[in-house]
Parts: sequence; C-alpha cells; structure tokens
Amino acid sequence: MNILNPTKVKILNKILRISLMLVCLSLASCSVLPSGPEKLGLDSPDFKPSSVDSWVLPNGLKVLYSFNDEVPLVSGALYVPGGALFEDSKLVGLASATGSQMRGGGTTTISPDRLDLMLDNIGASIETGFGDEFGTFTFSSLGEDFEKVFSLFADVIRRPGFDEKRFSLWKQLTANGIIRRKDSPETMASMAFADLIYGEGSPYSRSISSSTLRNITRSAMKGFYRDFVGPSDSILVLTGSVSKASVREQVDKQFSQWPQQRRRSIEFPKVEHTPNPGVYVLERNFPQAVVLVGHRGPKRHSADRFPMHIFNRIFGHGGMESLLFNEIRSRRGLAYSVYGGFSPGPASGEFQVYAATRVEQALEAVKGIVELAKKQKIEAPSPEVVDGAINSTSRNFVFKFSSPAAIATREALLEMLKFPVGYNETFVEKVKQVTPEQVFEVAQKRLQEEYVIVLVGKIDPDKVQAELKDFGPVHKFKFDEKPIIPTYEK
Amino acid sequence: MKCFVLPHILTTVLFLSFYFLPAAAQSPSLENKKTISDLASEEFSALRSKVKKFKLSNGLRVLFYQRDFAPIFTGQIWVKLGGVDEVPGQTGLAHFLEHMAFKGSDTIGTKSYRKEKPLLNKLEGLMNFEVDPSDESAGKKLLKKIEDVQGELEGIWKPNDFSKRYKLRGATGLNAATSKDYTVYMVNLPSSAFDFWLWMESDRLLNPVFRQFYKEREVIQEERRSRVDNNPSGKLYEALLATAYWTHPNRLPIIGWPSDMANLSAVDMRKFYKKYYRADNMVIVLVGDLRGQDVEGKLERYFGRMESAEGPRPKLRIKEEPQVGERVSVVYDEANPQLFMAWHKPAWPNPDDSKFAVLHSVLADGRSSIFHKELVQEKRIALGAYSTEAPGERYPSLFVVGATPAQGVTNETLRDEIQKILNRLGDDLVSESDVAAAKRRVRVGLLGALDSNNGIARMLGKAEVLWDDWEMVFESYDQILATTPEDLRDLVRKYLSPDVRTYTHLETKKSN
Repeated sequence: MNILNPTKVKILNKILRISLMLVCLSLASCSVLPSGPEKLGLDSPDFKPSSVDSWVLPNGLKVLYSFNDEVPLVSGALYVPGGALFEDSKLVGLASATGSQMRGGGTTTISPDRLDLMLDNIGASIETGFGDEFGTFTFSSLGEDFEKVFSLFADVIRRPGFDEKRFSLWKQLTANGIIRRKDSPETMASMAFADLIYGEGSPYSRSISSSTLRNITRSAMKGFYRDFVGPSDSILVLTGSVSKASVREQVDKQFSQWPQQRRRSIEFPKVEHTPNPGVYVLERNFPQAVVLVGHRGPKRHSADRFPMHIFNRIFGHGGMESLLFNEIRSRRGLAYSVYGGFSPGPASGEFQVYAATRVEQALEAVKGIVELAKKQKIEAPSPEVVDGAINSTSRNFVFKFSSPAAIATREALLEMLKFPVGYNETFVEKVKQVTPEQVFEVAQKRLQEEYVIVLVGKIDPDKVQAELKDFGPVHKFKFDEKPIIPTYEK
Repeated sequence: MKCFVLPHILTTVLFLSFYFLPAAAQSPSLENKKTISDLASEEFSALRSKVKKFKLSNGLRVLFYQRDFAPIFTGQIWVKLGGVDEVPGQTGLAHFLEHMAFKGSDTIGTKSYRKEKPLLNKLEGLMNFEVDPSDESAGKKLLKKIEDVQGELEGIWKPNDFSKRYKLRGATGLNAATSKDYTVYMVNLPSSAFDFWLWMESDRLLNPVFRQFYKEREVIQEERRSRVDNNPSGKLYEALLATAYWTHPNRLPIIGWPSDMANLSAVDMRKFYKKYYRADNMVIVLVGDLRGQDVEGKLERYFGRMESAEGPRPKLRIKEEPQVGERVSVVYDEANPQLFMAWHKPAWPNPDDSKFAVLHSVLADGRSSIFHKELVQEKRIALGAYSTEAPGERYPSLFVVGATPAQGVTNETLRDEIQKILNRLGDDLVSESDVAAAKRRVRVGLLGALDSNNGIARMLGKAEVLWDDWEMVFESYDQILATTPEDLRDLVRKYLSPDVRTYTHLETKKSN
C-alpha cells in the first residue's frame, strides 16, 4: 500500500482546490450563456427617427433636407407625378424615352457629350427616369462639388435639350432591347401575365413595341415633359455633407424661379378588363420553366392594408419563413426562387406567385402553389403565426430609418404615393392591432377561386392539357416582340 | 438564404473590383509610398480610427466598428472557403454547405434531435445504398424505405426554424453568399438582439446539423438552372472560365457541374466543414450601434467555445501555367449574340493588380468612358460594353471585357474593335486629366460603399478574410492614386495582347 506523506497530501489538496475552482469558474462561465435563444432579442427596438427639415417654395416645390457628414458625399432626388400610365396608347414608351433623354440628351446650353464629361470628370452622376406613376430624377457627387452638380441637375430638369443624335441612339438601343426580350423567360412570362389580368393594351400591361417606338418623336417627348415636369406637387430630397444654409441658397437659386406648369391631371386609368382564368403555355427551349400564378388584386389604399401586409408576410413575401418557401422549396425541393402575395396598385393591384422550376416538375409546382393559396381561404392562420408576423414586422420597422437619406426618401415616397398623414407614426400600432380573423378575412375576400397560370419553358402543352385541365382551359400562346395570346378557348 | 456571389462580370460595379484588392508589397518605393499613404490616411482617417480588431483565444479574428445613427447592427461571418477550394467531382460543395448552414443545429430546427439523429443516419445509409438498376423490385423497396424515413423525419423537423427565429426579432438581409474565394453569412438586426445573434451564430458553427440534405440538393440544382441553364450570359461565363483556365480550380463553376451536384454527399460535406470552418480561417465583422455591450467579452464567451485550430490552414498548390496562344470557344444558343474577351492578370501582391482598377474606370465607367463613347455612341456597334475582373481575387484572375453587339453586327466585328481600342492604349498615353478623373471616380465609389453598416462590414470583412489585414483596402487605394498614364500603357502592353486572349462568344442557333 502506498501511504501518502503530509506534504503530498497538501499538494494534492491544493491541486484539488484549484481543480474545483476551475470547474466552478468554467461552470460559472457556461452558466452565463442561456441554454436556448428563446428569450433573447425580443425587446422592441427603442428608437425615434431623426426629423427631416422641410419647406415649400412659392411655386409649390416641396423640399426635404437631412444633413449627414459621415462621408463627404451629397445626393438628391426630385420626384415628379406622372409616368407611363398616362401615355397615349399610340405612344407607349414615351415616358421611358422622355426620362432617358432628359439626362441623355444634354441641356439647351450644354451638349450631351460635354455634360457626360463634366460629370464623369468629377465622379458625379445625374440620372432621370419615369416609372408608371412618377418620375425620379437623381444626382450624387462629392460634397465639395455640390454647387456645380446641383446647378447641372437643375439645368437638366428645367432645360433638357433632347438632343437629336442621342434620341436616335436611344431608339436603336430600345429596338434591340425589344428583340432580346425573347432571351428571357421571365420577361415573356410577366408580359403575358400582365396582358391576361389587365387586358391587352391596358396602361397597366402594355410595353413599348416596334410600332409605338416609331411614333415617338422629339416633339412628343417635349410635350410629355411639358405636361408633367414642374414644381407643383413635386418633392425634392437632399441629403449629405452640405449645410442647410447652402442647400437653402442653392435650392432658391436653381428652383425658386421655376414656373408652375399647367400639369395634366393625374387621374389613374380604370381597369375594365375581365380576365379569363386558365393555363397559358409558351413552349420555348428553356430547361427551367417560369411559373406565374395569380389574379387581379386590391388597390393601394384599401381598408384592409395592415391585415394584408401580415397576410403577405405569412404567405409568400416573408422570405425563408413564408408558407410558399416552406412548401415549394424546403419541403418539396421544387424551386430555388419562389415568392408571392398581393401587390396593390393605384387603380387595381394583383396577386401573383412566381416560381422557377425544372420543366419536369413545373406542373407539380403549379398544383402546389394553387393548393396552398386555396388552403388560405379555408384555414385561418393560427394566433402564433400571426403574432410572429406582427412581431417580425414591427421589430423590423426600425430599418426603414437606418440613415438620414432613408428617412427623407421614405417621407417623400409616402407622400408621392398618397399615403395618409401619420402613416409612419402609427404603423407599428396599427400592425399590432391586426387579428388572425382579419388576416383570414383578407384571404377569404381577396383570394379568388380561379387563377391565371402562365408557364414558359420546354413544356409539352398536351401534358399540361392532361394534367392541369382542372385549372381551367389550357391555351398555347406565342411570343414575338410581345405575347400573342389567343382569345378563343381550346 | 442564399445567393452565390455572381462574379464581378455580372455586377458591373467597378469599384467592387477595386476596393477589395489587397495591398501592394513591392511598389511604389518606400519614400513615395509614405507620401501617397498620407493622402489615403487623411481621407479615411475617421473610418480607420474607428475599426477595432482583436482575436479571440482560439484565434478567431473580430472587426468591430461602432456606428450609432440607428439602434441596429450588421453581423457578418466570413470563412476563407470558396469554389476555388473544391476539387473536380465535388464542385458546388462550398455553396451547398452555405445553404445547409441555414438548416439549424441539434437544438434549432428539430423537435427532438435524440429521435432525429438515428433517422438521419438511416436515411444517409439508404440514400447511398446502391441497387442493381435491373432489379426493379429492389429499387421500389428502397424508395419506399426512403420515403418512410423521410416521412418520419418530417414529423420531427421544424422547417426554416433558423430563419423564423431571426425574422421574429426583426432581422433583414438574412442571407449568405459563396464566391470563388470565400463564404459570408450576413444579417442586420435591431441592437437589442445582439445576444440572440451571438447565440444563433455560434450555435450553427458549433453544432450544425445537415438536415433536409437531399431536398436542398434538389434546390441547388434548381439554382443552377436559373443562373446558368436558363441564362445565356451564365452559360457563356461558364464556358469562358473553362476555356481560359486549364488547371487552376478557377475554371470550375461555383454552383457546380450538374453531375457533381447530383452526387454531393453529407459525408463529404462534413469533412469539408471540418477542414475549412476552423477558428483561424474565419472573421467576424460587427458594424452598428452596440453601445453599452461588452462586445469583446461576449464574443469570447460565445465564439471562444470553438476549438483552436491545429496545424497550418489549408493551402492550394495548383498553379495555372502561362497561357500560350489565343483560346477560343463558342456557345450555341437560341439567344442573341454576346461575347467575352479575357486575359490572365496577376493577383496581389503584384503591384500591377491595382492599376487595373484605373484601367477599368478609363475604359468603361461612365457615359464618357472609351467603350461607351466609341462603341455605343459613335460607331453604334454595341448595345453595351464593360470591363471587370473575374472570377476571384485570391489567385491570379482574369481581366474580362463583356460586350453585346448591336443587331446586324457580328461578335467578330465587335471583338476586333475592342481589341483596336486596347492596342491603341498600348501605343498612346491616356491623358493625365483622364487618369485623374478615373481615380476620382474610384474614390467616390469607395466613399459610396461606406454609408451603410452593410457596406462597411463587407469592405472590412472581405479584405480581412482574403488578405488577413483589413487595412489592405487603403493600401490598395494608395496604389491606385499612384497610377500614371505610363503605368496604364505598360499594363496594356504587358497583359492585353490578342496572342494571349481568351475569346468566348455566343452565337444564335435556332433549335428544331
């Protein structure tokens, strides 16, 4: 037997104590970490967005300004009501032409080449364009070049030159773009979907064609410009490393004498088309089919806006945790990209689901999407799911205010799109009031029984006919520079 | 989740190809360098002084930048693992692994890992069990067994639990990306969710479970179809790399070859994970408002639990031999024509690397750039033309010109006109003022990337993971400022000759 001597015992005791201490320390250290993340990060962000300076010029131009000197840059945007929805049907593409050529065509005193050079030499940019509802004209530069670039920006907006040569180049590039639409299954599918739900030729579906391109002239662009570009109801946003005094001085100098225009009235065209639900197939040599499923939807400012917002987040706008993602991608492995929901518009919106899936399983994807949409009409979402979407939405709201530019831009866009005053301030509160019943009501009321289904890819229409006949009549369609959809039923 | 990083060629953002470039080690001279560095230091001194870098006890590096405009932060985890680390037969594995990192851990994504684990093992065995293809009955039995196990697992899994928990906390931009050179995981959260982020991210690194493996393998194959098979530019780009490189893994597609992707296994993935997801091969970047938080202490407590790495980090030994003669390939497709031209170029620390950023700006940045002015506006033979660098930055890469001919113009005509421009730049000097303007555009591009948590985090993280030093961004900037018209002329002469060009073009061919 090996008997320990007292010295050895002391040493062993010491080792034991140290070991125990280390174990305790280690346990203490471990115990600092929660066993799970359930209770972490659930506090709502505590924030109050910084305010934006704003004032209105006598001509009606509203100015929003926010200082930010983190980097020595300055940027601005002018938003002007008017856009492609207000074009003449023979001049589809006119808004796009005007937007492009306001900047591309130089000014009445500065040639396009010289303007390009002046901006490129100092790393500045000016861009102009029209969307469906409003025009967006932007600039950016180093703070030290603010006066110079802002003066050019004002010149582009107030005195565009619409240079003849640049306009002819735009026409050539646009004509080429029309030809290349056929290279993209997404482009062809979305053009067909728009025609089907809004009607061919509707301001909400039409796209520029070779014939309307021919009709667009410099004089038409100047007319469109005169009709829409002016100070009243327009909003100018300026942010960056430039002082308020300097901004005020320059805005006054460049825009206070801008005469009020007699703007064409901004009245959104009505949607009168009655869609024909069914399946529309474009057979093209793409190994992956693009699938669009949907129907027309609500206007932007509907009473059920907040429940619809929550519905969207749950159904298919919420990213990886949405029902669509979970069912079509994670559970069935059918698609890499799948998303969808309601997209409200000015006079009518739409409900649309997008998926891209290999052609062999495209029909399974269609069935899965329709099944999931129909399920929302008969099964109310659980309170837990709705709570999750509400919390996600309200905690996420802080990101709308992540920079001075984001705050000012958001304020301008909400006003352009006629959101009610106080929308920002009451958003979280309103979202938190949404109930599962209201979300279910959105699904029941807004989701239709029948869908327009568009398929583009290397798909055998006969197979579609056999497998998807329960989804309505199956039509083949063609695509030249735009969809050619038969109006007859097969 | 999960995009894989498109090469610069598809982003066409010029400064991206510049600002992550590494530092010069050889040129300019020390005396000259000091002067130039002072310029860059002055411009970015505020930024540089706010970056805190420290190492955890296991060697994991951290970059922290306090930025307090709003109570939010960006958290990114960078891993020095990309497509370039793969071998033929397993292409796409890094990107697939990035997808699987969203599937949870032994606590996230499952109702009971104790019940799940044996089923996962069983499924793995069944999926790799080979049956005689002629034995139909055995095949059916196997399929039935697989479906049964899948069914049981679906009852245990909590799909997308990882992302649901993030979204509940108000996360935005929850995503990841895989490039040739690295993998990055990213998310933006309210500051109040910092502890949550620490818990979730350290958990997925410490206890990953690759569940839903085979369904996700289908998903990445769909991703390939979207990015390559359905996309004319994607097909052409894949052909470009396979033509320009003969031996280096830069020739392999990040997304993977179809037959490789269909056979990737969980066993291979676990080995790959163990090899590359080691503390000294990763960088954490935090940018945002984390006032009042013990950032360093918390990171140590959560991420310090990862084992310290043993032995040297993995190293690639394959080198591409110098190209001799032009290489040409053609892709036939129903789409309209387009082309790529490419030349091999060096990577850092070769001092020529940064000069390419200035060349890009001169050639293709802005409406007054040479390509736009001559090819699009004056001769009207191109719908667009740009230059960029691809496919990566860790190893010698390619200077790439991409262009789309106007209707009625052949790829060959456009190619020759582009080469003429390059030849001219090899003969004549670009003016001092044009070079100065190009540098200014690069500067504005760099500043523009610094106005968001995400932008700053990406800039710092990429430089640190690739070059082990985030300050290389500014070293590179110094080099750019030092570039002269003579440098550009010499650069073109040295690298952009048609004799060592790769020309890959898409020609329209109608199918039957």
